[in-house]
Amino acid sequence: MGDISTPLVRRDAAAKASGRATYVADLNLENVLHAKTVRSTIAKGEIFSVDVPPLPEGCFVVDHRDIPGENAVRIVFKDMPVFAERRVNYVGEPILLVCGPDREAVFAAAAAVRIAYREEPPTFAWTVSGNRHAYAKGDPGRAFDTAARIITRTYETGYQEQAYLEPQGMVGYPEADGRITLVGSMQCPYYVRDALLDVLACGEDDVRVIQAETGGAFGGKEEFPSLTGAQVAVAVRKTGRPVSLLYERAEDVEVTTKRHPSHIELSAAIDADLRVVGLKAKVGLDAGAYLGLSGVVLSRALIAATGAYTIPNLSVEGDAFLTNTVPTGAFRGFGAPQMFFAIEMFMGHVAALLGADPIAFKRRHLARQGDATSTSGTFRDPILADGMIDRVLELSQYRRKMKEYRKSGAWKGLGLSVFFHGCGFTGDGEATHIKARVRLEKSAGGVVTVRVANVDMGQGASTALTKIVAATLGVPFADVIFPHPDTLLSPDSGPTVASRTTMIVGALLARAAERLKTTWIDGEAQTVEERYVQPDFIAWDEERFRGDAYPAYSWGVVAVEVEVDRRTCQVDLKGCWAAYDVGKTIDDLLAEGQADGGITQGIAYGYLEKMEIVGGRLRQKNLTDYVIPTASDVCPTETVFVDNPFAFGPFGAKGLGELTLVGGAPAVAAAIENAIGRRVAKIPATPESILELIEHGKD
Amino acid sequence: MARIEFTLNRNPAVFEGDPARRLLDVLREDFGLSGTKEGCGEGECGACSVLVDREVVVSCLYPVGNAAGREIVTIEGYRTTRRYAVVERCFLEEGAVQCGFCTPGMIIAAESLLAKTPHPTEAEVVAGLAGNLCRCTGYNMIVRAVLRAAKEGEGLW
Amino acid sequence: MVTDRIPRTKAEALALLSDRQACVVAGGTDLMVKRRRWPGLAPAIPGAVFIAQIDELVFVRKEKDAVVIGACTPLAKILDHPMAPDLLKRAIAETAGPGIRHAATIAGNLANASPAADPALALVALDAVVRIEGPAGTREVPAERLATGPGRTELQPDELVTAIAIPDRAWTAAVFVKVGGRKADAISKVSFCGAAAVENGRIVCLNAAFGAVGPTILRVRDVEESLIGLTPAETAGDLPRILAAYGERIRPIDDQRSTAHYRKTVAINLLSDFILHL
Repeated sequence: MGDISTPLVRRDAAAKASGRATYVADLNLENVLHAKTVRSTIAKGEIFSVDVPPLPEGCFVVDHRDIPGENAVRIVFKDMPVFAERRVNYVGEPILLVCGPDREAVFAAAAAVRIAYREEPPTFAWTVSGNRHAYAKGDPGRAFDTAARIITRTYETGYQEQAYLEPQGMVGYPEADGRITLVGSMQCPYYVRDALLDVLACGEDDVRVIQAETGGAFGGKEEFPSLTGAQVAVAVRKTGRPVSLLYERAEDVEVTTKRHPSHIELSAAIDADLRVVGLKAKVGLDAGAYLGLSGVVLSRALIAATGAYTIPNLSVEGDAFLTNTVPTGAFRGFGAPQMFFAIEMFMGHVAALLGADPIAFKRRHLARQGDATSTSGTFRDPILADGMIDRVLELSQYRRKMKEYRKSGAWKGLGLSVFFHGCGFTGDGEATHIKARVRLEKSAGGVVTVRVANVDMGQGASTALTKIVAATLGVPFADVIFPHPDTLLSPDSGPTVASRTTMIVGALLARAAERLKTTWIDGEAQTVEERYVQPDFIAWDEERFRGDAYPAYSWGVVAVEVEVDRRTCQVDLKGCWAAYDVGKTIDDLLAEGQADGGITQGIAYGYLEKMEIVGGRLRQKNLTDYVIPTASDVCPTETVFVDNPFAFGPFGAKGLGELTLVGGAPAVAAAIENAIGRRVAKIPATPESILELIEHGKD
Repeated sequence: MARIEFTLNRNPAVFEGDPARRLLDVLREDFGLSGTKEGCGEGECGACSVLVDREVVVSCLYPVGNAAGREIVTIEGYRTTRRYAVVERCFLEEGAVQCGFCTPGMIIAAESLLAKTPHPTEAEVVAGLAGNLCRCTGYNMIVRAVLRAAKEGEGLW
Repeated sequence: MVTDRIPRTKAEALALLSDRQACVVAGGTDLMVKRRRWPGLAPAIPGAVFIAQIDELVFVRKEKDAVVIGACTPLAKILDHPMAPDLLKRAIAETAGPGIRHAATIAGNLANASPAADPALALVALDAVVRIEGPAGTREVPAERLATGPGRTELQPDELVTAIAIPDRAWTAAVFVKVGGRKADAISKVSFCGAAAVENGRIVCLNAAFGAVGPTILRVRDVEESLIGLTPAETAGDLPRILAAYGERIRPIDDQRSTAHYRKTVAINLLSDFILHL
């Protein structure tokens, strides 16, 4: 068996390419009822009346009255209703479903539903805190009192829409034994399953959730399917029929969860040696109408407050604010992209104000192995960021080009970012909340089935996890199969989030495979299960926000080159160079694909993708107006992975999925700054905002 | 109501019904061909791409009324060809498939390009795929796959 | 009830339009989106008459002093045609993506009357003339005057655009700049198409058209005419006056795609660039 990183062809690719792969909208359920959601048209108020037109035969309305259990979707916080009952809190909030066998009738009936509201003044300003965290380290008071200089800046980031190519979809049907089965596009079958237990007031055997082939997710299908799953399950229970809830794109863009907009104020206490010895961070995130998992996004953002740097004295606080807008949620990076944009730009701005070269300045402060983390944990493993900076500077020809462009006066520039991503759930989440279990089932014929709850949503998990098992067992890849996760057949190995799938679940599978290998009996069916055990060096105090926030950190350095058009202020991406430390790649081709896709999303977050809400209504409501990159917009990208095996990761692997997005925005923003000679503190740095900077911005 | 005759995946086909129906819906529902996907319903994403008279067309905004007499090929019809075999192999080996939702449309767009330009430059490949959105790959691996298919499929286009 | 509303000839089409209740569908690339209802349901286009199959309306040919393009000629076909004017091809190359260009028609683009339309912008800049047929016979309208507002034209419900004639002209400077949200597959935020003919050192013709800066595609004839007879250098010297005159007429809006200020600033920049490189 060769090196595990050696690529092989992912096994789901041929079915996908040929159009044979079955996504949820491709399922043809007999006797199905098509469901359409009727939604609030106001941002805040009381539902005064709901008038449903006379419904044709076979048509049903499903609403809060049909919920046997709790009218609440479990998404960490249980504040989001399945169906709005007496109050609505955002434009687009679901109030009821109209279901029927004939789509014309459903469409007409849904359009004829008349809802009267008592409107109330909505809250759009960030005044109501739904969740607050704060932590400190060292003696920030003293650091700031004795500082030679204090520099304060604020940074803003906007919404980002996941824009997975396959819109959200969920179908459900009753089984003969009364169980309700859901099939949908999702990242976390057990999140959906657990949400159903509360909503249907039923037992675990009464529901089954199966992941359908999922056409992209990026976090957007982490918690949202719990809402649609609950709605469909209630509808199935009420009607006794299969129900299909498929979102159209405009609806998906308008009402599903997006990345939290942020407002971050950073203050640096600088000593006489021009070193940042203290940092104050004040973070605000817009959680939208319901908190959901926004507290966790806030946590991750706050933990990333010092970025890639060691700053001994910290005072960090943040709020997730509730506003009458579409609820925000998980999106690749989960609070880190916002924070790394702020801290990376800030370090660059501080350097400029101190007359220092920004890259040299960042290097001085780079965290090193053994340093305390922001939350007073320890960076236990080697940090290769310094060498990675060298590599990226060389690949991009950063210094030579910057000199040349400065001299020529052309609006060309490069920007460089340094960043990490904490792999896995924060602190003791794995041990206290997830408690992952995996199973390997070997048939008498020697075919091994991987049973986990983690899904392949395009990132290649089915191939990576299968490779780990096959390589550990020493059997051909073809002898290991990976069916779609199914709560009836797969143990709960936790959600497909937080860059934990390869590192945590892969490690569990490797352990299970080791055990199967040593106990293997030819010709016999065998089953091996493994449970997660927290390495004892991870100690996290959730109350004080102190200790090791993550078991491992993956690191990245990215350089982006741009040219800005003087007439139109449009940004042309000229090149992108990246170095990543993910411990060990499980497959070089999968890793490169994740790197390319992630950096494209991250860069676009920085300069291209704009989403605004005005008066509680989204202005960019479809893929025509919400602009994501086409093949014409991307640039040549060169990526290197450096080996830095993590002792507890399978074959040394750490997390990869989110890392590659995190560094894109600060790198492109810095490149634009260097090209136009103005400071960028707000993203996306669209041509409109660049024009404003040229006309009014600061050097 | 109209009766529309066309060729679908090299076989004669008849549609009877509202000519304003989207070709996408007719293909998926009336003919059971689910390989063509709906990603946006407004012609932006290209996941619904099919070949009409050998040229890529976004079927979500193509009325079936315009299909009379045309040769329509979907991914189901294309995947049995030698050209497809080359394209598929290149897509797979270059890592151009992740979630796969854009892939059938990308392949159809690639065929449309190669049918007209058997030896495209990178810029021509990019222009040929510019109407197909992908959110997973960042496009570079897809462009490499198509360039490689053009080379390795020498003589097929 | 089976009513075939898919005419094969221009005469059949005109007959179907005569009740003034019809809605003409050519490529459908705008209409099928505008009128959509729900996936699986046909868009709401009552009275639809599908004219894309009318072969006699699909052509690119040379007439005396003009290139004439049939109304139902797909954009991609024009892009490939050796006779089609270069500036029109440049506009088409920036329009949408290949999957739309193979279906969208040149007349559909004009009749959709979007001020952001790219082929229409080039047609207006090129002094194209729209040929229309109706029960009263044939008439001609300059492309610039077809649209009366966003999504509105002066076409009567019983009329059909049959062809677009683009007068021959040897341009010495020709520019098409589209500023979209991204490099491809985008709607113009602001666009500019300029064409000038300089003979013996003097301007004999200068057309400057702007897209997405007002309710219809904009040309300012009096300023254009004021430049005839000037040398490029004189025109460059007159730039402040020219820009000020256009500045008064360019009145874009803020919308989900861009801002009025950006659109106006960029429009003026592009015009300025054009004037300085005649």
